[in-house]
Amino acid sequence: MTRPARLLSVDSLSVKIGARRVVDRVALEIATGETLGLVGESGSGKSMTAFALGGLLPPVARAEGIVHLAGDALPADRPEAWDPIRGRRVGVVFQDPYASFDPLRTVGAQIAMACHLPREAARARTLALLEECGLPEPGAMAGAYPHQVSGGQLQRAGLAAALAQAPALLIADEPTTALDATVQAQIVELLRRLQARHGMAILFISHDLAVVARVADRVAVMKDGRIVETGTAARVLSAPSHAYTQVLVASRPAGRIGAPVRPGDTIALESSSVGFAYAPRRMGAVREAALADVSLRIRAGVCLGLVGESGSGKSTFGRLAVGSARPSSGSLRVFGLEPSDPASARARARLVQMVFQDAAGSLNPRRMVVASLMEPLALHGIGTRGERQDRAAALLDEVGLGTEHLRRYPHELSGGQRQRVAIARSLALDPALLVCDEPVTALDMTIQAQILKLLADIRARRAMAMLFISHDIAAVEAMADDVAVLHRGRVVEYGAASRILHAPVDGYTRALLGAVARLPVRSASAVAR
Amino acid sequence: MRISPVCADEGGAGSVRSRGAAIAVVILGGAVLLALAGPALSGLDPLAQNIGGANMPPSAAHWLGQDHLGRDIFTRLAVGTRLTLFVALAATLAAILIGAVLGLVAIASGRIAETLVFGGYDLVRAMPSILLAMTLLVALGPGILPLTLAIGIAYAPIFAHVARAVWRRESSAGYVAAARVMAAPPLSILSRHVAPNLFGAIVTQAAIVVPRAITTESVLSFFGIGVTPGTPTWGRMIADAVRHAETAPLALAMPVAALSAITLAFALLGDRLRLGSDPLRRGMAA
Repeated sequence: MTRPARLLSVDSLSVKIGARRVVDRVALEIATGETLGLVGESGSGKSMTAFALGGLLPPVARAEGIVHLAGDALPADRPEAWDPIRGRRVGVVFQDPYASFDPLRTVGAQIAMACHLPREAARARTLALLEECGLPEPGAMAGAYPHQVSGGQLQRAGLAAALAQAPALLIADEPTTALDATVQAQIVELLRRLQARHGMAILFISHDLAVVARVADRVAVMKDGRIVETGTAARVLSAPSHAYTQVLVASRPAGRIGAPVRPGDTIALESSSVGFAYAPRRMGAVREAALADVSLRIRAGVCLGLVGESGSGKSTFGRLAVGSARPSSGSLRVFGLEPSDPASARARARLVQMVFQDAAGSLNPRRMVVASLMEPLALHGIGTRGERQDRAAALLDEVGLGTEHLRRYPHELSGGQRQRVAIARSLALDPALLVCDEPVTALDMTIQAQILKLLADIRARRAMAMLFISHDIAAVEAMADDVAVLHRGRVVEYGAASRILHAPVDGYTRALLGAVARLPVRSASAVAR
Repeated sequence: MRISPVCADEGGAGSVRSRGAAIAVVILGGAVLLALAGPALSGLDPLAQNIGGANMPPSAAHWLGQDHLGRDIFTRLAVGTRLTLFVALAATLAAILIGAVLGLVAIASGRIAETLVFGGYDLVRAMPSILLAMTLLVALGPGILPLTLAIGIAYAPIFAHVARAVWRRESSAGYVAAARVMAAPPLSILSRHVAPNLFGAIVTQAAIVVPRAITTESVLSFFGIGVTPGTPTWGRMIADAVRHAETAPLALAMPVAALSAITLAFALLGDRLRLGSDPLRRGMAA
């Protein structure tokens, strides 16, 4: 294969914030029409690298190095050198489309501004761009305000704005991370189509290896500000040579963790025809149904994975299971108790506990780890003060943390450690059912794998039932015995995980599974788990 | 909680803040010293009149001079500091009890209690605090304790609303959701999660209310309805001295300076207290 002309190259790019070198002598090359995937976890420096290549570094950052863009040499430390480049020859799309658009101006006005054309020409170009980016009604989209359109649509509009001047390079910084799986797949598809038509180069930044595998021709892996491995996507993702890349690739959950648990005879959770509607915001407004006719059953010791996209009602079901909300119709029983009944609240709390998505938010920033762990014990009058302290240490040990963490505040812990503490707290009352609402979504890939492993181990050891709520099919596959797929508040498919994940019947389930990006070759066996 | 003015943080905002705290502590320390030791130092009676020495400038016997009735200004300022500080601090404490504590208990007791109690606060708040305190004082009669109570009631709604705002913010926090899943009763959520986060807000608010309580007390005394005539609070002293400002400027300037300095000191101290009680800053100052 003859390599096309080199569009962008940099030999030694460094970015410093204060005394910290967040990007350390990075060398990169992107050819015309090529997609380079830049992969790394949070704090690896991938976004700073992208900002430096787009001339978008924040004022506190100091850059070193010369970026060569199609024959021009651009010093990274001189922002003004980038003024004729930025937006014209380099377009940028960011992670959160709602943050990228001004909420007070219409989408069309903002794209038109990026066109740098006379008013009428800019309007025509805006409509053409919106249509090209797969928005069926460009006129309506141009007249809408950002909050009136969905995240996926707005990201398409963001892409339209980035392409306004037909840039030679498009920098896409986690462009699909904030989106649902099916929408994510559509945006990736759109990027490939646009690239095929315009022949631009794309620098695609993501923490998600599987998404990168779908779009990238070549992949660069970053860790601690350095590029540790570069190569073709197929080679890096199927046969990684650097130890860190191997860990990263192996972190992608591939199949079930641990052996299936034999279900118990008792029923941990049973819902029959449960419906839930939020109270109308205004008088006379129609009540929105978040859940309708949901009938599920979890046997003791079994893990039910509840899958769905945002707004599907899966978290609402989790809240019903722990009694934080009461069903509007139907009945829900947890070990025979009605969870939202105040009279049995204390008994319910000892049977069912919850792990939340946002570990940082679920721990009081003003209380030390030991205080958070002792809280449920004190509330239920378990043990003396000294015994509770011992129990707190034992709980930390169970989640793989040492006693040195007892006297720390949440902000002194990493994201993974905080989620471990939250899990330890949820175990303090020895629940027989644990509701996990997106427990790994906010974590880095390698940490996700550790936390999933931890949850699977705990569940096996304690023979505990689990309601595992997630939008991430791979995480559900790793954990669940049974799977229920929720779509717009209704269960569209429900059954054994092995059947649903490999032979789905329902059309929506098939679309959801089809949208999930998977690594092309499973190399997990090559790496010790 | 660090309230020490001597703190190890260096550079930028931290040192400015600790310098501010140092100034506050010096002023408040001076005020307390003046209040406690002042009368004994001068050895004079703050009420003793001496018409012959009226409006005299400072001298060896009278360090700050004498007012229009020949009373020693230094001694009166010292006794006035004692009374004024006591009334302001006690009134603020009363306002916190009546506002924040009662307000939170009402919130935890259910929607009806909350509506009733906060309706009461709104009634109080609808009236200017000076007018309200005046009305209450007329009903309660003159004296230090009625004065304290009247000012406390007038400022209670501020603390009630601060407490409710913190409660509302905390109610939607993840750790409160977690506590509810543990079947924690409202009072437990209140004491474990809301109260610690409330502390900083209350302290900051108190730093604003204390100087306002001092001003309110001074205004009431200025109008002669706070303490009985002759009692040397700052407001009373200012009221007396205004008419003789040209002949005895120090009699007016000293209580005015004291009022300004204390107001500044509480503002600086409140800022420092709030930051010091915040564990998110732990490790930043050390």
